[in-house]
Amino acid sequence: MTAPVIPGTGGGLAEALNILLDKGLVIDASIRVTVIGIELLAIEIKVVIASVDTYIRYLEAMQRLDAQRRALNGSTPTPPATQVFAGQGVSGTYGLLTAPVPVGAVGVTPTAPAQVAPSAPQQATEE
Amino acid sequence: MSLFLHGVVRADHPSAATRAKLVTWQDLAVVVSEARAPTQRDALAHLELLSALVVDGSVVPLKYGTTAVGEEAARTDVLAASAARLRTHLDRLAGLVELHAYLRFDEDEALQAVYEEHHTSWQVAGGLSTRILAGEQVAQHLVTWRRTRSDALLAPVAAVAREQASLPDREHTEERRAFLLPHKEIEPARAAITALKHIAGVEAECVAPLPAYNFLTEPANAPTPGTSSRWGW
Repeated sequence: MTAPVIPGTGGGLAEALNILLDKGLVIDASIRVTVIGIELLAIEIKVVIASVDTYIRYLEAMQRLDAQRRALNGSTPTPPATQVFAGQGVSGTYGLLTAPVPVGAVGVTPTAPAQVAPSAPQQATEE
Repeated sequence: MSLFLHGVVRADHPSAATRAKLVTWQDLAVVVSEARAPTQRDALAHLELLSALVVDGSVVPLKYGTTAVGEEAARTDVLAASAARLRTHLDRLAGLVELHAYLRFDEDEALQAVYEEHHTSWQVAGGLSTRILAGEQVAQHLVTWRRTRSDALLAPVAAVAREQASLPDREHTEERRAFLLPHKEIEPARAAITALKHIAGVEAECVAPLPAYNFLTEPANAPTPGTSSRWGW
C-alpha cells in the first residue's frame, strides 16, 4: 500500500495528520478486523541522512559566531591544532586566517647536509 | 462489504449519524465508511471527520487503516469485544479535546542563543565523524533551548490543560506539543498561541480541536494489543 502521507505544507490539519497517522486505538487482533500497514520507514531514513548535513551546518554556524566574536575582541582565531588550513569550515569561511607562509621565507637558511666522504675501511693491522 | 473503521462514539452522539454511517451496539457506535484503496485525500478526510465529531462529544480515534470485513464484524469484534475499554476512554475524554501547538524558532536566533550559552570553543580538530559529533552536540543544545523557551511561551496553555505531550520533532528548532484541554478552553488557548506571532523569532500555529490521539492512556490492568507493532502489523 502506498503511504498516504500528507506533505507538511504548514496547512494545520495536514501537518497534524503526519503526526497522527500512526496513532489511534488499535483493536485487538482479529481475523475479521485488521489494520492496513502504513509504510513510514523510508521517510525516517531520509530524516537521519538529512541530520548529518544539519549537524555540519550547525557546527559551521558556531564556528562563524566564534570567528565573529574573536574578530570583535581583536584576537585572531586559533585554528585546530591538527588541521591548520584544512580546519577552515566546509565552506571555507573560517575567520581571519593569514595566508599560508611558504617554506623557506622565514629567514632560515637550510643547511646542506655535511658531505662526509666515506671513509676507507680501516684495515686491521696485525702486529 | 469491507469497511473502514474511523472511530468510536456513544450511540447517542448528537451529530455522528448525520455526518457519517454508524454501526451501533448497545450504547456504542463505530463510525464507518466503505473501504477502498486509501488515498492521501482519504487520510485527511478521516481526520477531518473525527475532528468535526469531537466538537459534539467524545471520540475514540481508531488507528488509520483499521478495516472490518462487514458490519457484523465491526459490531462483535470491535464494539462488543472491547466494550469496557472503549467506554473507559469515552468517559475519561468527555468534554476534552486535543490541541496542537507548533512553534518554529528562527534558526539563526536559536543558534546565537545557544552560542551565548556554550561559546567556549567550537573549533573542532578531527575528521568528519568528529565534526558530526560536535554538530550533534549543537543540535542537543538547540533542543534544550527550544524546550525551555517553549515552556515559557506555552505556559498559559499548559496552565489550563489536563495533560500535555511532546510530539515528534521535524527540526531541532521546531517544538510540537499536544495538550488535552476542556472544550471551552480551546478558543482562549488558540488566541494565546496566535498572539505568539507578534514575538520576534518565532512562528506559531495552532491546530484544534482534534480527537485525543495522544492521550489514549490505557488503564494499568487493561489488556494491550500485544501482537500489533506501531505499524499495525
